[in-house]
Amino acid sequence: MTTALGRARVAGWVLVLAIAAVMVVDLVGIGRDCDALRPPRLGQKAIDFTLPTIDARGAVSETWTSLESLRGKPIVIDFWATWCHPCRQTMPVLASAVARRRDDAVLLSVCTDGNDRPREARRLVDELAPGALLVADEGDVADEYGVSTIPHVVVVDRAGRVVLVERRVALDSLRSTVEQALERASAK
Amino acid sequence: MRTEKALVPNAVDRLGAALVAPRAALEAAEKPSPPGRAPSDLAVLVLAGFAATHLIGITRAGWMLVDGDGTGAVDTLLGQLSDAVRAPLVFVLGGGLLVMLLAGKRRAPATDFDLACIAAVPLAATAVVLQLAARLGVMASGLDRAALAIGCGWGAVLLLLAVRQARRREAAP
Repeated sequence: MTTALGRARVAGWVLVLAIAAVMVVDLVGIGRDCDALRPPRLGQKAIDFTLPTIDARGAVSETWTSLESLRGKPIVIDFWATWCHPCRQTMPVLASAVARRRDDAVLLSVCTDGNDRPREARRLVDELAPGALLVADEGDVADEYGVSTIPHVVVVDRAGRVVLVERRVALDSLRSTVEQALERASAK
Repeated sequence: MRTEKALVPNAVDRLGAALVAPRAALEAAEKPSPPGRAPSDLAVLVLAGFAATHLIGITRAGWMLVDGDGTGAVDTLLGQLSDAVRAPLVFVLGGGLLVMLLAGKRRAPATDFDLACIAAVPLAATAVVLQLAARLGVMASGLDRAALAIGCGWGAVLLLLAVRQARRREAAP
């Protein structure tokens, strides 16, 4: 066996072992609580999360916002990104649906760009959904909520249960769908 | 050269050679028998790496399927797969073109892209190793960019070796 082949073989097997180790570590984690990976469904408790707030100056601030801290209020969670054009159409609809209720409902605007473009995210929210609470997500929370396409809207009731999951948002019916969901969310 | 023949045995040896004996791996890829091993080796590495590092995402997609959201499950899987494949694919296409252009009259497109596939192995390997480090708590999470930078730098060195290898071959008539 040549030296080159010997080193190559060792390196190759180290690589194979690294792949296997990553797989084993994740399998152990999944095996412990596979159900925790299930995206929230209607009637289930919404998964709690804590994300940094994007402040009025468009900076990712030291202040963090958790879903738990909003418990007791109907919450509309809007997953979006600055590059997503349909999201820009959705935001004013959600903002007006929340504003029309004149109660303590909250629009939680989750920008999935993470820390990349907070200033742009703030500008868009100020323009399209003023009053929304803007937070930055690196994608982890979106993954937990099973967000595969954006915009993705989730409505949570006062007890913290999911009353609406809108995956493929239809703009025509979005307003009425969200208003009805908020009605249910406020009543509970 | 003895090492060229010795490096033929199996995919694990060839992938390892790309990491620790790149000159020998590139020389062996010049005279592949059968041809096309470098792309298939890289594909196996990328797909195995994807399966290992995206198990949680795959499980989430499975739950979505169970919950009746088949489209969401497919979207999730394809999104994650495209994330995993994008960097090596762009590297191979860009690197293959670079090797081909810089090889001048000695260019051999199929072999040049084989060489680029070998140069892309560190990119895919680094991603797996850094993901393992993150899971073991040795490094912080959110390592995608670090993995990309290290892998690209390492791969770039291999691309330079690939160009040199390509320029050494006999010119096409």
